[in-house]
Amino acid sequence: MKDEAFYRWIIFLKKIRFGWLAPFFLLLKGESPRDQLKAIFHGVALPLISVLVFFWLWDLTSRQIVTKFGTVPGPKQVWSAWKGLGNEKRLENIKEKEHAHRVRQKRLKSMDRYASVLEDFPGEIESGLTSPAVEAAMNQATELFERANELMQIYNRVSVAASLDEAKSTAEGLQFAESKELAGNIIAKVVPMEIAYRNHEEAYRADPKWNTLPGDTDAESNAKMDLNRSESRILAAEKVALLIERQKMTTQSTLKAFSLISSLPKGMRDHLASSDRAAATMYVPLKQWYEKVLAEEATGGAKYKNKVKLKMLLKAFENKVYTGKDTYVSQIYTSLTTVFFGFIIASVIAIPLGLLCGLNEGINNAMNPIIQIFKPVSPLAWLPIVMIVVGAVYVSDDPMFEISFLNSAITVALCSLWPTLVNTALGVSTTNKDYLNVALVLKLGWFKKITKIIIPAAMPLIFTGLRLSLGVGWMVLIAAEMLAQNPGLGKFVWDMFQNGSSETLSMIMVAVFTIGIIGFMLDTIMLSLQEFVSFE
Amino acid sequence: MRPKYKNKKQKSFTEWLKGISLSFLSLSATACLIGFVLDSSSTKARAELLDVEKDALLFGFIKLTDCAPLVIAKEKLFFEDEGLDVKLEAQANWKILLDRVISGELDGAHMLAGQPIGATIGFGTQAHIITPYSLDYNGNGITVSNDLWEQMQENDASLKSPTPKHPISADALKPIVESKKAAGSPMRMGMVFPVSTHNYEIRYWLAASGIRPGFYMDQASGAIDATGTTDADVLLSVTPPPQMPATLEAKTIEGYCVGEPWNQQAVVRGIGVPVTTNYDIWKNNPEKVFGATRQWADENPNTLIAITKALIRAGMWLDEKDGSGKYVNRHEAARILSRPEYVGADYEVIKNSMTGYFYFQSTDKRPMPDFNVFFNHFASYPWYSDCVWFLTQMRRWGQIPESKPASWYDETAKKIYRPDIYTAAAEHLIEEGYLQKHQLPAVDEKDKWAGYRPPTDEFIDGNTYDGRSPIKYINSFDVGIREEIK
Repeated sequence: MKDEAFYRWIIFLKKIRFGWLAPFFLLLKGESPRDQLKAIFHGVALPLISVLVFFWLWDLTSRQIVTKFGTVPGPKQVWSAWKGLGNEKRLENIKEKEHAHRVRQKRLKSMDRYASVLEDFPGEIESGLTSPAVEAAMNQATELFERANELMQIYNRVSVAASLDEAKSTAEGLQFAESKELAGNIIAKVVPMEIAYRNHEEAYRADPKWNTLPGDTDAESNAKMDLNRSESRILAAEKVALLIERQKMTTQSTLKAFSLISSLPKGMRDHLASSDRAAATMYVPLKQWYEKVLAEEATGGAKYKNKVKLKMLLKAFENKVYTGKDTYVSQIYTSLTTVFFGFIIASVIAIPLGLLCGLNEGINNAMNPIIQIFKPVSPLAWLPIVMIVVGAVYVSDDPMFEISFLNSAITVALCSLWPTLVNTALGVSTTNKDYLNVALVLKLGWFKKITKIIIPAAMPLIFTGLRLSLGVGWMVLIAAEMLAQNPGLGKFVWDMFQNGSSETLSMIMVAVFTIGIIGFMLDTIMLSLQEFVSFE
Repeated sequence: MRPKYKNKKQKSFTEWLKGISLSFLSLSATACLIGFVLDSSSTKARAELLDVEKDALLFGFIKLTDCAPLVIAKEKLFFEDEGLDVKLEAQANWKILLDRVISGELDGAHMLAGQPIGATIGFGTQAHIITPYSLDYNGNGITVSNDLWEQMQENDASLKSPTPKHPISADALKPIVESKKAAGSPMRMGMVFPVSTHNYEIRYWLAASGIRPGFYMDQASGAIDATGTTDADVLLSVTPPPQMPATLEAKTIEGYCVGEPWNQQAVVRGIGVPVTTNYDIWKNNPEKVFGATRQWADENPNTLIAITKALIRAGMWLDEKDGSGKYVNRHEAARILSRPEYVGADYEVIKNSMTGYFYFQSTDKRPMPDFNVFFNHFASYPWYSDCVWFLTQMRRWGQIPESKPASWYDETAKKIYRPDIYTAAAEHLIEEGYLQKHQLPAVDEKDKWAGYRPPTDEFIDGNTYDGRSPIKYINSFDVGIREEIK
């Protein structure tokens, strides 16, 4: 029994295209080691050697070719470009955090400016949102907030203190026990950090080595700019870290201070933990209110005098999405989405059409010239047509898909539907005559004959077609994205080409490897799927 | 700002909201403290935020240094200060950019000054596009291949110098053009787009030396020629800016007119020689604008004012100078522009023109402080006369096939250029303390010709341009279509 499971595992490995691992397992089991070693040599060592030889030759030749962009990058440069793209993601994350922080800051300012509107908050929206239980919790929470307010004030007073002594004297004579605890926490942790940070910042600003001066040569000011940039990045990261740390501390100590905290409704706890979520909660009733104001105005009712203020307040609580640049990872994601979308469109058209062609020779003959003429058309020819047609047909105020996305997906579909179509037709028309005779004997209906006999019999070829289609689609996609402005890998290659910088070539090579590896993975997945549907 | 709770037992949702708002207020004090460290830029007093209709915006740009105001407005957070979340997306070429603005995929874009004009009068694609903000003045150059430069030097010995005297006219080019035409293979040169400044500038430069760059219509028969090569001594063709150096290197063209960094790129890569800049062709000529469709502008009036505010601040930042007249922020701007998602060319290349220097040959580096002007000399104000100049050139080369009365030029300019939006934005900025009154042009609203720049003769051929009399101007050229004076 154990043996059977083992061999099933080996077969499974082979099916998912990891057959090269099988000899290792067999070797462990001690099965004809000579054969296994030979298999390992062929399946693992040879490919590895060839890859290494390729890298070696590449490294050797790349240095000989000098272009206007500098020498052709070798494996090392491409590897460092790849790592650079990884850093890009990290920098974007920091920027995103900084952005979130600025949004919150602005929200607070808007609250400051427009809070008076809340005096007019209408009763019915209130009652719609509240039940007696929530009401009770709210009452409790309001009291908590009053105390929290004091805590916040203490926090502010103490944390801006210039020295520890000053902080301590500010913290004296506090009313609530929890305030004292918070003040203690701040004095112990935040104030030293704040002072250290301020000193650091001052030292940084005072040091002339960072400041570009009018008399500097270009090289000098460049070097300073570089330093400044990396330095300010590090500082920014530190600031963010500090900010998070500080918020965490405030929240933690506030939470700890309230012994009532376990009885708080979940929503309130969230408010304490994250101002973003507080914003989301605030947004709902404010939106309802604003819509009510608009509806009243539309039906000729009284105009609300503070409408603009209300709107501005509402806006402050809208969820703000960070609009950074497209990172390499997000571009890969866009490309994959596009290719799958196009591939699905192609399959939905090609498989039924292929079935028809395979079942009926007449239809097949009729379709043949169309298939043969359109099959070899390049994506570059389809794309302008698709762009013009989609641009004219797909008009919507709130489009579900970006037009550029549709353009590239449809181009992918147009180019990749042919292999599936042809293979499906072939698979259906060459169904084993014995199977069809069985169907005759069993007197199967037309529909049952197709679903029970023909499609299963044609499955391997249909999947061969699908696999070829996906391969074609992936290749076509890059060309389509270059021209259709769909923000994927193709656009990345095009943008890098347009940059014409010293990094251009290595960036494009990174993209080439990415495209190749993803294409290889897609192919492998389709191959193993094909293995699983073949019934032999 | 503590609320007075009348009855503690009747606390309601409203009060809960107020409670939250209060804790926000106190939090805000904390945030201000943190903000003091994090964001020292927003220390100025701020008036009410504009009630923008749309806050998530997608703008298109082409990889050229003169997209700088857009990039700076985003990176220096001027857009964010207006409550706008802007994403910038590089476009493959000007045609795609324009089409995507018209289709609504892009909210607005960095455009060639001629694009809104061409689109509005229906040359090429028809769509009403307006512009409230001029992105910059100058910034283009004409580059010829090394071979052509050597031939020009043979024709004119004074050019045989590491630092020849400027401006260089096309006179030395004329014999070469003529012999090539006689041999049956006319010279080919590249420009960026049929309605681009580069097209009119290279035409102006050639025609100033008596070389005909070709017309967009046959004057005798009235037949339209979309390629603009009728009766041409030099064949001009469209090439996207980033591909110019490669096309020159491939010898498909022998010269081109393009914006930066693609002239400096030719010098750095040693494939061509910039012979002149458009500063010499017309001192302080309009170059790029920010364009949006009229429909979009009508639907989002406040958003457009907010965008213009941010752009004005970006222009000011870019043109800020220290006491000695050196740009203070241009190095940083060049750094930002050299990032791969923006212009992406090497910092070394972008830096030259951005910091006020221009290499004519690798041996010939000259200070050109006004090579790119973003704000000074009122460069960001959308002057009607700038629009009229483009219209006169479109008529001169036959892109406008039929004769138009002088009043049409004025009316069309007022349809496309929108100084009213610029002024509204500027007034907000004055109120907020970012802008001084003297930084705006003194425009007398009552004057019929308000918004026209005074007449100037600072052209390479010394011809005087007065936007108020376009017909007279069109007829002042030796090469070009002439209007009949009724």
